[in-house]
Amino acid sequence: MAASVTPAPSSAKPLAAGHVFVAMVIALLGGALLNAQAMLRTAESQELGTERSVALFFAEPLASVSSALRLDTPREVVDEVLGREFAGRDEDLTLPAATTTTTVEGGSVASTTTTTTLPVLRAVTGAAPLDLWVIGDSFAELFGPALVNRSTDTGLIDAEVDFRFISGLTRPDYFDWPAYITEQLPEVTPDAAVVIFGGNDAQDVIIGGQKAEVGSDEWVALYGVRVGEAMDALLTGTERVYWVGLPIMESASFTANVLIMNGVYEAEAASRTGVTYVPSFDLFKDENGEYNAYLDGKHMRYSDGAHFTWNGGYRLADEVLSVISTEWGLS
Amino acid sequence: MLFPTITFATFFMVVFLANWFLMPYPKRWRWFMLAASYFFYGFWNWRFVGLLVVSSLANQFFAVQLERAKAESSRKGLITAAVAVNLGLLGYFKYYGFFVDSVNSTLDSLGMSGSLPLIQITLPVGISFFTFQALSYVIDIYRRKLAVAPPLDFAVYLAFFPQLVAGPIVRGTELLPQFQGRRDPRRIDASRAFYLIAIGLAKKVVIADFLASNLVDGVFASPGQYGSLEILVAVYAYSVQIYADFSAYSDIAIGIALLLGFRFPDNFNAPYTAVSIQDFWRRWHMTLSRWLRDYLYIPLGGSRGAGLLTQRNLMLTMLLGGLWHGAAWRFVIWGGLHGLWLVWERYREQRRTEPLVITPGVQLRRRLVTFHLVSFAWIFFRASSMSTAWEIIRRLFTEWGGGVDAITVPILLAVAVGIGAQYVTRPAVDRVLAGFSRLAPAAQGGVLAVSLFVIDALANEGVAAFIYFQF
Repeated sequence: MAASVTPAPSSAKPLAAGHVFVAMVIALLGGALLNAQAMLRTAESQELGTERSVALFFAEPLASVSSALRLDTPREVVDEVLGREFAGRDEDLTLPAATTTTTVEGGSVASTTTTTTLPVLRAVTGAAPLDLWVIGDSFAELFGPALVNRSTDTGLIDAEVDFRFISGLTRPDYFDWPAYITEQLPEVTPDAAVVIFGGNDAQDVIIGGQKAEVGSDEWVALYGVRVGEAMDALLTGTERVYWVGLPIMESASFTANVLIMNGVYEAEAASRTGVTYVPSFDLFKDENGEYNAYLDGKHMRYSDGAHFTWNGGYRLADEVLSVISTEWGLS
Repeated sequence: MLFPTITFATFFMVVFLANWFLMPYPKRWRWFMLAASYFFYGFWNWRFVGLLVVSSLANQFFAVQLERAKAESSRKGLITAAVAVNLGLLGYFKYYGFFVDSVNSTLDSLGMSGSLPLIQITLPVGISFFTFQALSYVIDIYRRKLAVAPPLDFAVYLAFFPQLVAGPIVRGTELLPQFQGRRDPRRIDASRAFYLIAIGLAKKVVIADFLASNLVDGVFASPGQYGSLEILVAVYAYSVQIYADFSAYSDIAIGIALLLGFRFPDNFNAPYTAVSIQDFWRRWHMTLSRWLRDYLYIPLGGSRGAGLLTQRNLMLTMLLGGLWHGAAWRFVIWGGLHGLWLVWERYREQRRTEPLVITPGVQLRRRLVTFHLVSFAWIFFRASSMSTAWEIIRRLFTEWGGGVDAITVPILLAVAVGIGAQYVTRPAVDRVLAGFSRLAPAAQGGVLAVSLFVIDALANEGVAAFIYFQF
C-alpha cells in the first residue's frame, strides 16, 4: 500500500500563487543583496566565457547596490568572524597579468632565473621519516591520498595532502597558491613537495586588457611565470619539489592543452635546481598509445575523461614514489 | 542542475510561473512540464534524455499491452519482459563494470586468463530512481491497482524534475492522479514548502558539505593518518553527513513539488531516533523501503511462510537493496549487515514471551545501539574499497593513542546539531510554520532572504553534488 503524501499542517495558512511568487522574488533578491560580494567572487572565479559574463552581468550591479546600501556589511562581519578572507568591493579583482611583474615584450617573457645550490639530502629513517607535502587541484583528490597511503606503507615517508577543488595557477585572484605555499611552509615544514596542477588552468586570460587564448605565446609566458612562482615559493622551504605532469585526457582539445602545460612544467623545472618534473602523460596511454579509462584491466579514470579513480591515483602514486625513492635512497 | 544554485533558482522561477499560468490548459501544461523536466535532466548530459524517452516509450508500451492482454499467461509474459527490460537497462548502465570486474577477479584468482572486455559506461544520473518508478508503474498495472495513464501523463510522471534524479521514489498511484485533478492556485502550502527548501539547503551546504570536506573525506581517503578517536568521530560525522545530504535533497524536492501544487510522500522521519533496525528502515529512505517491501519482499513470500523463509526473504531484500545503492561488494555487505540485524531482531521478537516494557532507559539504550549499528554499516557504504573499510575498522579499535587534531569544535557542533535536530517534533515545527504562514508575503520573503544569507554565509565555497545522485 502506498504511504500517504505529506499532509498540510492544519493550522498553516495557505498562500496564493501570486503571493508565493512575491515572497520568492523578495527572498532571492534579498538573499542576493545580502550575499552580493560572495556572488561576485563566485562569478569572477568562473572561466572566461558566456557563463561568466552572464553571471557578472547580474552580480556586478547587485554588488554595487548592496555596497551602496551597506547590505554587504553583515556578510563582511560573518566572514571576518569565521576567519575568511573577504574580497571587498575596493579590491581589484581583474585578472592578474597586468599587475604582475611579468614583462611581455614582443611575445617573449623576461624569465626569472633562480640559482639554488642543491642541498645534500638528509638520511631518511623510520625514526626520521621523509615529510612529504602533496598539493594541487582536483587531480590531487585521489592521487594525493593514494600517495599518502603508499607512503605510509613504506614506513619511511610521512605524507599529507592539501588540495583545493577548482583552483589552479592561472587565476591567483581566485586562489593564490604561491601566497598560500609561503604561508603554510613554516607550519608544514616538509622535506619535499609533490605538486599536481592544471585541471583548471587551461583557460583564457586577460593580459593588459587583451584576451590571451590558451596556448598563445602570451599565455604560455604568463603560465610559465605562474608555475615558476609556485616552484620558487616551494623551494624556499623544501629540499626537493616533484612536479607531476598531467596525463593524457579523453578530450583531444584538453589533451592538446595538457601538452602545452606539461611543456611549461618541464621547462620551468629544468630551469631550477631542486625541481624534478615527473611526467605522467604516457603512463595513462593504452597499448595503442591512446587514452583509455581502463588500463591493465583496472578502471583508471572517471567518466569525465580526466580525473583519476583510486586505481589511477595509485598508478601515479607508484610512479612518483619510485622517483622519490631513487633520489632519497629509499629503495 | 543542482538545487542549491542560482541556475536552478532562475529555472524554477520560470517553471513556477508557467506551471500556474498553464494549469487551466492541461495539455499545454503537460508538454511544458515534460520539456522543463527534460531540460533539467539534459543539463547533466543531453544524451541521457534519450534514455528517459526510451524508458517512457517502452514502459508505456508494456502498460498498454498488459491492460489489453486477457490471458494470465500473456500478462505474466509481458510483466516478465517489462521487468527484464527495466532491469536490463539498469544492469547495463550500472552493473556491467561491476560484473566484469568480479568475473575477471574470480578468473584471476583461479589462475585463468581471458579477461572479459571492460568498456567505459557513463552512469546516467538518477537511473536507479526512475527505473524503480517505471517498474512500480507497470507492476501496479499488472496487479490491476492502477489504470494505464495517458502517454503524456506517464512521460511527465517519469521525468518530473523535482524527484527525477534522487527521489523520493514516487509511485504512479501517488502522482498520476494528481495530474488529473485540479490544483488550487489560491491554496499553496507555501510555509511548509519554504521550510523544507530552507532546511534542505541548510542541511546540505552547512552540515553535510562541511563535515565532508573538513573530516569525513580525509579520514576515509587516508585512514592511516588518523587515530581511533578521530576515526570514531568521522564515522559519526558520516552518519550525519549522509542523512543531511540525502534528506536535504528529499526535503527540497518535496518543497518544490508543493510550490507547484503536488504532494510527494515523506522520505525521512528522524531516522537516528530509531529504537531498532526495523524502526530505522521505517524512517530512512521510506519510499525505497516501501518499494522493496511491496515489489520484492512480499512477492518473495514476505513473512507469510515459516520462520526460516521469512528470514531468507529479509536477507535477500536487504542484499538486493544494498546492491541497488551501488555496484560494489561493499554495498552488498552494507545491505547484508542490515539484513542480519533485521533477522536477529525478528528472531528475538519471536522468542519473547512477555511484552517488552519500554522505559526511558531502555529506549535510550536501544537508540544508542541502533545508531551505532547503523553507523558501523555506513563504514562499508562510504569507504572506497573493502580494504579501506577494514583499515578503518581496525584503526577504530587499535589506535587509541593516536592524534585528535582533526576533531574540532565546529565538527562536534555539526554532528550534535545533525543528530539533535531529529528530536525536534513535527508539532513543534508545525506551530512555527503556522506563525510564519500568518506573515504577509513580503515579510515571509524577508525571513527567507535572511535565511538564505545565513545559509550561504555559513556554507563552504562551491556546491558538491548530492551523494545519492550516484545511485
